[in-house]
Amino acid sequence: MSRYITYCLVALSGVLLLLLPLLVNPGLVHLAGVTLVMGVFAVAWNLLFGYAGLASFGSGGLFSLGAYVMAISLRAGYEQSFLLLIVLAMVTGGIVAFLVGAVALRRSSGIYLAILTLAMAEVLRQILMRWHWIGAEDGLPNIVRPHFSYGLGLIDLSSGARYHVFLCLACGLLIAAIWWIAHGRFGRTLRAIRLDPERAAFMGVNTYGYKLAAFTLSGVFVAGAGALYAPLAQIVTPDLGNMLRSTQPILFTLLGGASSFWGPLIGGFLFSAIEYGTRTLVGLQEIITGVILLAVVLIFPTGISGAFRKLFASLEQGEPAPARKVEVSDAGRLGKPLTQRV
Amino acid sequence: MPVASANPLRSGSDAMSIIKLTNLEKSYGALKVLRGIDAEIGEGETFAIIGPNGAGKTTLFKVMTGEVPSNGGRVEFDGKDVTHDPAYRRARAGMGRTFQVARVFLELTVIENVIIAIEARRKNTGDSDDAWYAVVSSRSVVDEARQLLANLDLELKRNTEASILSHGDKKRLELAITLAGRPRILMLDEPTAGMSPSDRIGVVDLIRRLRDESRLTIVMTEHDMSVIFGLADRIMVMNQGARLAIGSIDEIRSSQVVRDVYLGKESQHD
Repeated sequence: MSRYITYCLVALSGVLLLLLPLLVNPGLVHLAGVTLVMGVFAVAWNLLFGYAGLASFGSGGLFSLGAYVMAISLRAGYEQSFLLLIVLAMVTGGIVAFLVGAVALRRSSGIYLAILTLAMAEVLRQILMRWHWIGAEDGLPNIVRPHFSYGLGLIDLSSGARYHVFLCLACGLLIAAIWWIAHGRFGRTLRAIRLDPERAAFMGVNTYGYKLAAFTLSGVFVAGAGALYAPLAQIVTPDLGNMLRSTQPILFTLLGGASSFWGPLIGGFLFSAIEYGTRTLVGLQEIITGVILLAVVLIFPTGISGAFRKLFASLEQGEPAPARKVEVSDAGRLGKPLTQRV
Repeated sequence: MPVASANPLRSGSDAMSIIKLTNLEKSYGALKVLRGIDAEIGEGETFAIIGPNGAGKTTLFKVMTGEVPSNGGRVEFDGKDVTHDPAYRRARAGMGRTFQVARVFLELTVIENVIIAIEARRKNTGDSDDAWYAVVSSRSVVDEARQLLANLDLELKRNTEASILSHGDKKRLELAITLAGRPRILMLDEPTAGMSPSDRIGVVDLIRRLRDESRLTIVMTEHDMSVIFGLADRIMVMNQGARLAIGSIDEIRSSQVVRDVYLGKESQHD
């Protein structure tokens, strides 16, 4: 039942997001757009962490890479090819992620991988900060939101509301693609690798190859999120790739729950809601946000989505859910079960 | 290469060797764990490796399956040198193994464990009828998994999370995962370790069934001599990383040096 409730909630949230420009002020629409992009970033990051068991602390570098590819291209006047530019940013992110992953995954895992990826993102940030052609520390401002035509009439995304609608559709597509990858055979094999890489290897699974593929795919989608962010913010700076940005998907995931596909998205919107709700409490905002995050992690180690899953399970059984259930498939752990109850 | 065997039906004198170990060495720093191991295992044979704790049995298993690299010597599988192949390549070539402590995917259900193994095999052999993008496993994969579980008496527990299985059931599930890969050689590292007497009888019957019906080559380490003598065609005895003796059950039983080093002590314990 919880699966159907999840799908209904996802559909309702999608419709609500699309209609947001009609319901709230432009400031909130912009905030929702930023949160959505960061949510895609977090879901793509969790493809690595929640499915493959790899912790990358340098995803912000790939996010900024996607944003810069889009920003440079739009400023150079290629807005007619806007959709292709998103693909270009994703391909660039994928290539860089592949190269980084090929080195990092060969020699390191766990905390070493986290530090290595963080270092690589910092190297990229330093390059962006020193490269005057792309604005160095000041970044690239005045990015135009595109209007383009593909024979179906002019598509004008220059207003915030229109770009928001496009953003919702594009993010929806990216999330659907990640969902598909995570729930297919590839995702199932990644889960096996996360749970026991040696056992997986003795099943004939090339664990290095799968991890590298996951690293690359995650990079593709993170860069895609970055590409969508550039026209939304209309400015990109090297700080997009700093450590703070890299830790944001981690915070979203911890808050929402790494063991759920939707967890990072839930965490992202919750995080933004907390930040928005405490925006006037100067000096207290960070403390309140930190305390709430700490409380959630301590009380609900599986995040908000994990807490809801337990609630649904107890409602289904009519009694509090035991710590581990017998005769229950893995439906809630990372989305759909491999098999419907067979 | 001919391999002598006590069981002419399975690995008679004309049986071809499926595994050949030549002068295999393994060290951890200054500690020599394997010292020039030579052995040949015939196709269809049940080959047991015994020895006291610390003799190097598990290390030999690890080197044979590619879990750890050797420091010298050669491992051949089906006539091919696989010494430098990683574990996944050896698994694809047909080596399946279980561990002393059963290793299964604890967060997944019993049937999901087996399905993942079947899908991995089908992908590697290219006989998958599943689309790569399939979100739900195909009927044929599920049917194969259920059949396998039925053979191992786990069918009724198919939707149970693996983490709450008993030790014996986890061992059986691990065997199911390994068999799902349709190995040519089954390597069992202490298959009855930590089991209750009833579970032990069940697993021995199961291995015997696999040996007789599937004609699988089985390589096993085991401390329980009744299990070894009930199943093995040939036995290799190891001591302090070296091969002490190799031969049929009768030859090993009658060997004075083996009795002095291992069997004598075992019988005293018994």
